[in-house]
Amino acid sequence: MDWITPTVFFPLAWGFVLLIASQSKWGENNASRLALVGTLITLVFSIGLLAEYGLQPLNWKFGSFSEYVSYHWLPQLGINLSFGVDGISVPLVLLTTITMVVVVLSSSKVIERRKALYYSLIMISEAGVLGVFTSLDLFVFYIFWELVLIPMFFLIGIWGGPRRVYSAYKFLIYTHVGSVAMLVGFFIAYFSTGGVSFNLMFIAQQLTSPSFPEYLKVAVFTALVLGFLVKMPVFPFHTWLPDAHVEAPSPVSVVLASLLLKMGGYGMIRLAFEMIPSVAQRYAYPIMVLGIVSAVYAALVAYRQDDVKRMVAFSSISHMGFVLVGVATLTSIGIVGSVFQMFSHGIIVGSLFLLSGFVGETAGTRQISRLGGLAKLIPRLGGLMTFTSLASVGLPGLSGFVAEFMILTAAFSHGFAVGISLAAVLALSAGYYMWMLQRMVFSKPKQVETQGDLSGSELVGLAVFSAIIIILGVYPYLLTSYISPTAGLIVHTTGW
Amino acid sequence: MIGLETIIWIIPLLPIALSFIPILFGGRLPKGGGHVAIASIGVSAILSGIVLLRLPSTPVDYSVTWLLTGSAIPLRVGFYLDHLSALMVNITAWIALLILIYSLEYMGHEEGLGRYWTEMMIFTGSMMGFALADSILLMYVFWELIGACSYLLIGFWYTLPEAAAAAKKAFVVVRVGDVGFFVGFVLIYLYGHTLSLQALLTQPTTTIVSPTLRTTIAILIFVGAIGKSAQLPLYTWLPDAMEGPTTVSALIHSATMVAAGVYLVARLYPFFLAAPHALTVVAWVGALSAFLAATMGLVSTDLKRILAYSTMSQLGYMMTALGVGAYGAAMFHLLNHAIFKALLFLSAGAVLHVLGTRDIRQMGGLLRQMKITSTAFLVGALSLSGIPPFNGFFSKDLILGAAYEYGATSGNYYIYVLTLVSVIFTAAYIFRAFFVGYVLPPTQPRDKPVHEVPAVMSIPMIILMALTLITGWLWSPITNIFQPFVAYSPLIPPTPTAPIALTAVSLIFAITGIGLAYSGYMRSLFDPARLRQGAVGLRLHKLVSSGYYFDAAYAAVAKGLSQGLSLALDFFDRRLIDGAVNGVGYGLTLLGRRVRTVETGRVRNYLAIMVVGIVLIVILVEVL
Repeated sequence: MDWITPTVFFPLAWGFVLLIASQSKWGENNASRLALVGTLITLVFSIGLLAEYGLQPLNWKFGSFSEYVSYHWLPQLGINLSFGVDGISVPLVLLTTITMVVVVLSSSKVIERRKALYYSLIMISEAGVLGVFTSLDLFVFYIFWELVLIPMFFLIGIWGGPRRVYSAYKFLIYTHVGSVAMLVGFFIAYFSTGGVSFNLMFIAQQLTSPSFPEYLKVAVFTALVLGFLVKMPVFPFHTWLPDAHVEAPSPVSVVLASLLLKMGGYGMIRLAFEMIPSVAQRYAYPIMVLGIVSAVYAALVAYRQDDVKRMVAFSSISHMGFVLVGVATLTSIGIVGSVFQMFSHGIIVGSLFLLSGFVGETAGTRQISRLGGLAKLIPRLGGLMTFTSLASVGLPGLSGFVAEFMILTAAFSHGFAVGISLAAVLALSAGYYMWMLQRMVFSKPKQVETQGDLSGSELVGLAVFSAIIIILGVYPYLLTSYISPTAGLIVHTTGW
Repeated sequence: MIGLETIIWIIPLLPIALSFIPILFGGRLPKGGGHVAIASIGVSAILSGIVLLRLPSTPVDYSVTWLLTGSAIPLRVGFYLDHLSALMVNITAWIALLILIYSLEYMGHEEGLGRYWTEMMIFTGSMMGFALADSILLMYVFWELIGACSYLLIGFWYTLPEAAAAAKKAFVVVRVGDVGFFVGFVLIYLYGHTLSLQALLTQPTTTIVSPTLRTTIAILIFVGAIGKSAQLPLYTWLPDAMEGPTTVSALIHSATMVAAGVYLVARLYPFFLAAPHALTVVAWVGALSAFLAATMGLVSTDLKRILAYSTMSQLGYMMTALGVGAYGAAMFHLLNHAIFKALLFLSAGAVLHVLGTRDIRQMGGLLRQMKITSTAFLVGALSLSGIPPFNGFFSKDLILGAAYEYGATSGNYYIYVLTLVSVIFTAAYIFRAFFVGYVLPPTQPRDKPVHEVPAVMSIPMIILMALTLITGWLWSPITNIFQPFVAYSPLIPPTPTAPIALTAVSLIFAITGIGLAYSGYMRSLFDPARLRQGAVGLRLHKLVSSGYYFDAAYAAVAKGLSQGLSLALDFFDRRLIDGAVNGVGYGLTLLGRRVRTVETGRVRNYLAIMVVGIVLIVILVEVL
């Protein structure tokens, strides 16, 4: 059965249903329930996709996705609605559908005005992210890519904090510049291969042929990498991220951190590295160094952050540096590690943004220096904050460790210096997370009152995230059994 | 009957699997769910005992596929049973059980008790998992869980700023060492393509071919052991960790956390033997730690800190033993030390429970009212000083003998001298604590009557006292039941034995130490306070009591990192990078304003701009 089409288009349709519902009072009152139903149905579709994918015999090579659908759209321009998944994209699809359920669950208390519009935009952005992870047509990929950007702009700009307009614009313009770079790359690839088709496999095949001019390959690669570096983001293209996170309402921060950044990482693997492997091989080392610099730099800057959400934002940049390093090692263990890291980081950092956002709501401030003893005042938050911070610093038994282990192993295969500088991040991140916990969660309570502990749907969402962190940490086989064969084949077929 | 391969999975995982009960439902259970903790550790302890009795001659290994990495070989993890892991899991389970029973009363009135039991269950379970793990990867997993639980337990009273700071310090300092361990096993995986213990223990030289690489890996792994076992230079977390509950200290210092470092080296001993020079490093670090910690124990007035330094010092002895080739003696001392150190801590905890102070100068006069507690400390102190027939004597004698033999074969007698001199200091500091803290009359009159602790606390102490008298005989000049645990691999050489005259020398040193403490504090034959007067004495005292300035140096580095580099980078990030971004943006906005007014606040206008933008780009690309 075709599970991809409903997985991608159902949330889109549901988003428009909500948009229409926003005109009625009933729709406004029931928006969060409608959105929950919508995300749950999407989750069911994606689980169907996962099960179907898992049942397929393994005969994957680039160009024959075992799950594949295609519809004619603009055949005269060579644009088709082609979708497919493999072991790299299936985990990310699942990450998206799970995260979106939690996002809806945790929005109900935070979002008080124009609810139906809010949830409609959330559903549309979910469709956008899912489209990005499944599109096998570059033009369609770009459309979905932009389909995420525009709802996000409004989500930050309408429901954000005091400086929301500045942050929303910065987010939009900055990431749009990245998208444009990517689009330029797509067009160069499209026109230089004869302007026949935007099909990913077709273009990849043309690009790998020896007769294809080298400088064009480099041009496409550079443009794509630039676009994805902004999205991930990687130093020095990261400054849109902390501002966007600080101003965005925390569920929107979760969409940003857990899903949007993964679009950059996914694009890096699927389009930049897998599509043009020969150029990737040549530029892998500088890209890897950039990833390491980004990981170390963001960890150091995180030390100075007083706003806990800003600190988490920098930690997020640091962890995405690991993803880039994993890909750039051009090893199967590195790629498995990167995809695992994207999944795990999506869950962990999502939890951290929900928690730090909740701190701001209940205590009236997110400044670490003005907080203290939260474990005493609001023990559920204190406990979950401690747990998730430990997960974020890569405590074994929790999911973050598995990814870090694989990426570090891959990094060490490129030399001791590469490995050691990345390993130093482990000690650094333990430092700033533990310091934050010491001052904010432990110690004597500083602020007099808080408006209640975590409860209800927020707690359910966080419990789901925490359970995933533990399950994947204890038994990573569950996820790596999907990623591993594909990663092995990528390395095999690209000949790295 | 359940097979051994099932039992070795149950032992570590049962307490961990049940650990959610106290923290979630502790409020509705008596003693915050303490009985769940005791029952689960009790089952693990009994199963450990069964394992010991049914111990097969060849190792049992039972593993599952855990991780796929895209290559042909999946990573498997599981549990591994041989003499060494059976021994370690028994030490951990039984000592932890006694400490948990003691906790029922000691911690009984604390707030957040459920949290305590949950963390203790994961802590003990992780240590048992560490002991039984069949691959270095799984060892590392449990190793880190031990670290995280110790972090939470040291910070149990987290509203005290000192406790919160001590917990963070324990985590971060140990983590620095852990990075070494991590890198070490990543290198093993990368070059040896395996992480299974079996391969490393039976064919260390074929798994990692290059001797230089073997040494590098062994030393990196040892760095992890340094952090966990609080050896030089990563010991600074240990004294501060005394901010945690005393039962936690007792567990950390006897059978779990610090023992993990020694066990790690012991577990990988065939690999260390195959790594040239690695064991020399181990011996030096151990001997120096033993010596310096003993001097630090002399100047502290905090009973728990004195015990903390004694832990560091005794672990130094174990490391020395490993370094000089006496692997058996190290494990034997680990067993004996676990017993007498738990005993000393439980006695100190009982005093703290009754008097509410840890300062030995505010204690005193306890012999009559707290007979069991005082006897417990005396027995522990005698054992620690190495006086027969207490168990510490037997193992310490083996270590000193091996250190001497090491000197005789290698010409390096420094190791022997350092460990021998530490014997005087050890006896002196622990008896100073005993005389001042327990025997001498209190300096101030007490407002409350002092009484002995209840049976639930004293019975564990009595059991440990009995064990202190028994376990030494497992490996004495006349008996040797311990031998099979020593010879688990044919690659390990027999423990060297030394002439009997050496025993006399170390005994004289120990008695001298006790005599010094007795004449200084009980008989006032000399005034110990005068030792820290005069220019040299003052400086020396400052040097020792500051812990040889390691702490200050680390604080300076941390400060430099957070306030120097990090501050500079933060400025760089905000002003330069983001400044450039905003500058470009501002420039473009100025340009844009001349064309039209953009900020109209209407949704469809933005959409229109977006569409126009995309179309423009498409056209641009087409033209290009």
